[in-house]
Amino acid sequence: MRFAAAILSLLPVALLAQDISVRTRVEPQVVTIGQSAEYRVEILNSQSTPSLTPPQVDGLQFVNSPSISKSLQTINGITSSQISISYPVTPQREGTFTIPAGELQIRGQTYEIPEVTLRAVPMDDTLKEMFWITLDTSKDRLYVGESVPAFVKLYIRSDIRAGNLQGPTKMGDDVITTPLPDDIVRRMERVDNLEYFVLVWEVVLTPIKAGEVELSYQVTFDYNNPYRYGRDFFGRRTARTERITLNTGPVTLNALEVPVEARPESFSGAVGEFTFEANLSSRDLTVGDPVTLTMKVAGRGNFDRFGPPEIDQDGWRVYPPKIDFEARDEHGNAGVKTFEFILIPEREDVEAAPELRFSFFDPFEEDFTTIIIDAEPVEVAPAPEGSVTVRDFTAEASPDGTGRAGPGSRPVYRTDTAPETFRPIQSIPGKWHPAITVELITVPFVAANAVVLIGFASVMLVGARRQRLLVDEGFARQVAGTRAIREWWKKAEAAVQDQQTDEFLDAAIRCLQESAGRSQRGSVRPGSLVLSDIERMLAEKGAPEATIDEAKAFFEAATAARYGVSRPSPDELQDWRQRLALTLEHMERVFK
Amino acid sequence: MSTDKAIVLLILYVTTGSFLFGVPNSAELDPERANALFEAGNVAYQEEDYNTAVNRYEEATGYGESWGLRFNLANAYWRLGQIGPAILNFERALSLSPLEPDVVASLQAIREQSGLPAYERSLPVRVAARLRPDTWLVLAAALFWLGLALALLPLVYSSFSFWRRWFLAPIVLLLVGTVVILRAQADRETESVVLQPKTTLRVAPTAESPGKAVLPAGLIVFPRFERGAFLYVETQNGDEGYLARHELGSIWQPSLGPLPALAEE
Repeated sequence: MRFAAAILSLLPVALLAQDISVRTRVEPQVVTIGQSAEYRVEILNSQSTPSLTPPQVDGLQFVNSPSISKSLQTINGITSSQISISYPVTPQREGTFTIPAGELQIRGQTYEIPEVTLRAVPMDDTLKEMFWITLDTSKDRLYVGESVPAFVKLYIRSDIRAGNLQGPTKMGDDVITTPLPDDIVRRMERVDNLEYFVLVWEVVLTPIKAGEVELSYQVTFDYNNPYRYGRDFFGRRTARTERITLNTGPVTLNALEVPVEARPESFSGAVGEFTFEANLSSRDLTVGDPVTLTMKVAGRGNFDRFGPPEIDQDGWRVYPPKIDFEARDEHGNAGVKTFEFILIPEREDVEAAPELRFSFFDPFEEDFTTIIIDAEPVEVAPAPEGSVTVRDFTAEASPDGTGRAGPGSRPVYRTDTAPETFRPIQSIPGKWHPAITVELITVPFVAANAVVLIGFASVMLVGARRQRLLVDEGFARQVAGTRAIREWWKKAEAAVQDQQTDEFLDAAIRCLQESAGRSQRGSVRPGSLVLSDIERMLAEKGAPEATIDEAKAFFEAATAARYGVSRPSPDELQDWRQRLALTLEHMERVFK
Repeated sequence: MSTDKAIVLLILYVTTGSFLFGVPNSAELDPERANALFEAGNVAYQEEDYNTAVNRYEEATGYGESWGLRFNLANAYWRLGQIGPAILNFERALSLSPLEPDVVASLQAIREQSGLPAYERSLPVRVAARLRPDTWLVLAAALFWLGLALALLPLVYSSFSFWRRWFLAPIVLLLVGTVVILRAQADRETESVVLQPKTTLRVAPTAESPGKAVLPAGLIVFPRFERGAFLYVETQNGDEGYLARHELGSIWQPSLGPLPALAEE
């Protein structure tokens, strides 16, 4: 063991003795587009791992987080180490790429990283036959705002095992798409007499910018390459797992601007094929009474891009509509959009409901279509007599929906069930605050919490001490003994001040008894301890001989003096006090 | 007084009293100036000079905030037919004094008369709206300390076991409820109001973007994230899209909006 340790301890010395060198590799040196290679920088005989950033090469995509491995080997008594820093790299196009030379620093020395070459070739027929991805759009010429379905299809030959799929990911910002569906269509297809497993994602594309816009989808996955082998743990030949990125390639859509010149006034952005119908809930109306006008736009198109049709408000108060949409396909490209308006006739001379127009751009006809629903006749009765009237300020002030009073607007009177419009303004502002937003974590708040924390911790500590006094006899004796010593010491000092010899001697003896009594087990009271008990306790606690002798001498002298032998004079009490203090201090060191 | 009673009183005092004293924040406030402008606004309002009233009240908000000031400002905007700013200020008044009946009734009336859908808040949000956020925080802190005291004190004071048996679970439940309410209150912080009628909810964060819906003034929306001068919002009806920042007013953070109009618009 010691020998092995000695050998290991010598390794760094042996490594230091060898020159550091750097070499690079790319494996494999030729890859097909979409496949990844490994760019590896190998540093020989270095103990420290230098920091390295991947090189920038046009057409190559490096993964920024490298994997680092270290190895140590001894051949013919020569030990060498190797640090490998590996970056996965994926060519983005066909060609020969030179990963340029670089430099790295190890312990202040600069070393050159040699250049290395990677070749990317088009996907060979073998790989092309194994898998591919397509983006199929039903149209390549469409209008801005027009929504068309599209299909992303990934073909994987049925004998290829694939997994760890990432994507498809959309590339291109000029077209918005619906999210990829959770339910992927999976099916089998035969292509050129080979069976393929096909994954199909259906999305809806909508260009948001005119011109030639590009869109592609990319997918990455692992697969077992049946033409490239590795060995497993038992040495058996197994298909190698590789990772590949497939791209549909850019699909160009010619996005046309919806014509501006022929745009009808009632066009609000609808592009598609629609039908339009409307229904008024009643034709017998009363001034001030609401009626519901329901409009339905059905068909196929960009339902999420157009708003409610405009309504001519002459004679009518029109409230913003309630809008509902009932989708008839997964992506909301087909369905029925319902606008439910509340209308209130303002005058009894209103004879017809507003004429309704809905315009949309039909991308197949490449023209605008306007559906007109003629004004339906209605009969408007005056408001019932005797109803309490309250002015509807909003109707009066905001006939055009802008909130501003306009010419020709008339006051509208509502029935007595209408809520009171205005409440009197406040003459007293109420409590002033610095701001609406309340700053919650303030210094006073934190301080208050700190006070609570300190108070709570104190209460808990007091409680814990109280409980320990109840259950821990030794602790209770220590606490009581210390308190008793303090009290008897005060009495002794008072006796010295008053020059009362007997009181001092009693207190001094009691101080020694209480000091020793803290280590006494059982119910023996400290006041009943005699000299032999104190000597024994000091000895048991391992007190130095000097301390035992000192305590014995003071106890004997004090006891003798108490009973009339060699009584100290009042003037000598100060010396006795100092002697007691010293003895107690030494005993404290033993018993505490 | 026994030690136990003294401890209970100490905890109650510290966990409620000191928090309540400690909460007000430290922003600048000039009540005298704010009061003067408030009074000037009231005079203009009584004279039906609502534009001047709005100017005075808005000026007063620079020196202090009060529910009465926001209520009067909202009424002045309403008189001018500006439904969006009126609703925004009624909401701000409610954020300062959540139970004021005049504000609640006015807000309901203006929504009904403008044909706006009622704003259905979730239960925790409705409960949260009953008190100011700082009051909820004080309550949560007091409940936390009381719960902690009831959980730990019996370990060292056996006489507290009785209190723990009967009060710990309710206090923990109240604390959990208060935390849920605080969370709901935090979610409200982005609540904003559409200021202008017929505001277009855009598909993309550009001025030229096609619209997907037209929003009425006064509708409540919830900004989710920013894209330049635009905010991606979810409306109280569940529609989602982009609005320019100047088209919105934040209920809880008046300093954030409205912003100046975009140059290209």
